[in-house]
Amino acid sequence: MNGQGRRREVRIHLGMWWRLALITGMMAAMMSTMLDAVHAAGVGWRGSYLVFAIALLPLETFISQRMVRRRELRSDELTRFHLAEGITLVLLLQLLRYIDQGLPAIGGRVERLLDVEFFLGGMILLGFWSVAAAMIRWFQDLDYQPDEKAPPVTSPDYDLWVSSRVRHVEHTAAFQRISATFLIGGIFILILGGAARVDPAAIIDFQRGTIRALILHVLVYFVLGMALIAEARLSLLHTRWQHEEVNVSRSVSRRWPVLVGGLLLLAVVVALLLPVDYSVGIIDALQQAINYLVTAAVTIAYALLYLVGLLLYPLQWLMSLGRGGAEGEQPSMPEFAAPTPTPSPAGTPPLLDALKSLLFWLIALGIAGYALYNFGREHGATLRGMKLLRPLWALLGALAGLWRWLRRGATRAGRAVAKAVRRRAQQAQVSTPMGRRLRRMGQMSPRELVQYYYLSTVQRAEATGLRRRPNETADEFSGGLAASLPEVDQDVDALTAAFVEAKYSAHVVPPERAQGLRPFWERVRQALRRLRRERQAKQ
Amino acid sequence: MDLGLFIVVLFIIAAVMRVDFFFYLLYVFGAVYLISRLWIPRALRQVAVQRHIDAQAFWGEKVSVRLEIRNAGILPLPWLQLQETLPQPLAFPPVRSRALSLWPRERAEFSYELDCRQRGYYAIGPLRLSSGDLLDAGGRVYAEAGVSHLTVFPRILPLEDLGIPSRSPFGTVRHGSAIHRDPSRTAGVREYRPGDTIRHINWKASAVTGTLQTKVFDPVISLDTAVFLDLERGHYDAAHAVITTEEAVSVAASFVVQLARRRQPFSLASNGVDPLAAGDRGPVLPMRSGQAHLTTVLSALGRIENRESEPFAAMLQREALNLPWGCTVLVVTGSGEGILPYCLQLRRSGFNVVVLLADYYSDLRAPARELERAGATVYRLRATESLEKVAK
Repeated sequence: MNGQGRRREVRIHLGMWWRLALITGMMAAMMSTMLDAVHAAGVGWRGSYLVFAIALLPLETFISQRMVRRRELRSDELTRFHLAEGITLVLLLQLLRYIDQGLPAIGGRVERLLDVEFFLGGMILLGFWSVAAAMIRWFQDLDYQPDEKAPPVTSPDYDLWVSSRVRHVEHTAAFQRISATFLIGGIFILILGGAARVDPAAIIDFQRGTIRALILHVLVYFVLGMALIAEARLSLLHTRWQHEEVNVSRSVSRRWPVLVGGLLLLAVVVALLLPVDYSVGIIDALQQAINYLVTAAVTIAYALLYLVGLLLYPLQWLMSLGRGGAEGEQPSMPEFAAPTPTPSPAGTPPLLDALKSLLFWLIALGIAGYALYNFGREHGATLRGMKLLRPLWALLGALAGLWRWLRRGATRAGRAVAKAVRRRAQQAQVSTPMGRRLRRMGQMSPRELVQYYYLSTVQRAEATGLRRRPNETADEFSGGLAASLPEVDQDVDALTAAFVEAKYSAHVVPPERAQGLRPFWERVRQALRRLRRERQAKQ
Repeated sequence: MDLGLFIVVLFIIAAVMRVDFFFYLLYVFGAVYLISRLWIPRALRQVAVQRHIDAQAFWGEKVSVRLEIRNAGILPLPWLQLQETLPQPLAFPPVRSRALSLWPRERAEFSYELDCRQRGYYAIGPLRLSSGDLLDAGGRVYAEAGVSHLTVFPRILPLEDLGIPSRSPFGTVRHGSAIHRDPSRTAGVREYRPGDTIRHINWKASAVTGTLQTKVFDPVISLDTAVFLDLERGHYDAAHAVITTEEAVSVAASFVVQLARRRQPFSLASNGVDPLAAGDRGPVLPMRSGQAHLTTVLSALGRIENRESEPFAAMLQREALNLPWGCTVLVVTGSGEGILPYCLQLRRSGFNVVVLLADYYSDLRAPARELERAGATVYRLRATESLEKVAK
């Protein structure tokens, strides 16, 4: 075995003990929380021996699974083995109970040994035992087995390997099962821990305050659970890398605990900085926030009106002097009248409390919403296939359809409005009212008039569909225009030549030159109008 | 159960129970969830990868490739898997993988070797980077770094191994008409005449005779060599075309190396496909001499693919128009099919035509005789020892 292989072996060996310790701690925390909940319910059950027994379960399960593997037991032998194991465990639990509580007074009645506590304790023990067995098996499935490596296809061992169990080990599924068990256990322990602290009758009392309590067993469960998941994740990665024959740097394993610790520390710091209690429910908090916002907006509006009044006061005063009014009729200085605040309902918390509550709800809902959104996105296909949720999907589908319809309608309406505005603007450009245009033309200098004749022709031509390209010179454009209007080609040339002269020459453009162009311009305009009509008729 | 779903359930439990500790837990899990999802994609974007590799390598050389990975960001990467895809002829298995962890601003290196046992133009990479978070809350994130290219030159063989005389039949040869005089070939001395350059005065002989003596050189013609490589599949025996075309490329490369050693100018034209040439054309490189030109020609021969872009005869006819007068035309072909008229034409135009028939699996005695009758010098190549092993 090479150095890396030896290191890996040692890591797995140490890792297994570390995992056993974590599972033991988690199960003990779970059992302790269960006892807390039972005690909180007023049942006087001295079940501390169960915590001890359950803490020993992972080690026992690990040893028994090793024995099963070594002996290579068949299916029926395995059933007998586990049956015997379960009975022994229940009996040992009873023994522990008697050590803890002392022997009950049997009084010649043996059936008294088989009381409710015996059955209840036995069931709890067997439940934890099966969970421990599953967890250990999944952890073993998580690790890379040397037998997983396929022998060469030509090797006689290949056929054996194809049908072997190790070939079908699903490492990722094992990790997911471990993770799911931890999270489901987490929900269970939260409910138990909450039940131990909160009176069930008070749960529906939404006006009660937040309970301040550090539930140590729950904390231990989650800390150990996170460590377990981090360990399982690292094992899964190592297994994948071994499959893919990846050369793994030692820095990955070495830095892993540091980074997990850092991540959790950062998360804890963030959690400690955020608010955890709230005095106002979410609806009330929103109502309060809107109330304060409206009040602030009205106050600002009042302040602005007051400022306008102050600015207008001198003018008003002067006007009253001009009217020769008496002293008593002079306007008075405006006074700031603060808005009357909306009366708050009785028992409304102060602004800071409301804001704090609003912040709390925003953060908590934001986290839950983000998690739900991602869950929906990642498991969308599975969720859509669930019969139970079909009415919900139908409703969501209808809402989405309505939204799409509204959006499409709004887009169409927007486009239609924009088109209409554009068309009106073009029409306004082309068909300026005659009076206004003539008045404007009358005010133009001869040079401006010559340019106007040409540019208005260009505009009309563009409206007709004879568009001028951005980099096209006047002469180039006139060539194209004359080709489209052969009956007025000389007029177009004359207009273009006069425009070039007016635009680029330094000499004075005489008024008669501008006046002389008018007949050309009108002929071209008429020709363009004809062309446009023809084109519209064709369309 | 998914961590996201757990957070939703935790929120409901916390809101119902109103225990502040549960809200702390919600924040802790929410922060872990958010950080895990946002951290890795951002951190991975900051990873810069640089591949250090020579662009060219000789056949048989072991090329070291060094990958420099740098985390330029301020976020650490708990794990980063690098997977380099490699061309199978140079590396087996054709993937090199490594997993490592990177602190912020940390630099890491990853090296491997490529065994250049087959000429070609190879893409090294892309390098696939994948990473993920510590608790598998955000899934795996992928990125890809660019591709580098490596040209493996063809195998250079001693000409004797190919059945060709060690003294090349072409190159600088004595010639009756003096194109220029080679100062390295002194024929004797004569009396100095006005107009002779003083650089060629033989001072020792002048001292002995008492009159100025100038050196007399052999008149020579320096023959440029134009190498034409035929990769038309029809000109090679189909059963062995993969080997013999490869051998033809190797022969052409061996000749250009020989010519470069003799400091003679040479050009290359082929109808094989050069992947870097525009329009799926073969390489046509002009007549030059020197090491830089040799590298260019070897690179082109390294890249060339064993399939024709056009018929060889058409290419030969077209490129022969650009040949300098009096140069040697070295044609490396399979069976020599279809080139006879062009050889005759070239010969009549005053070119020295040498034909190397590389398809040694076929009986080429008849075509060789015909080509010889046309005035060409013909060599039939024999399989090199290594190729024979491959063939067996």
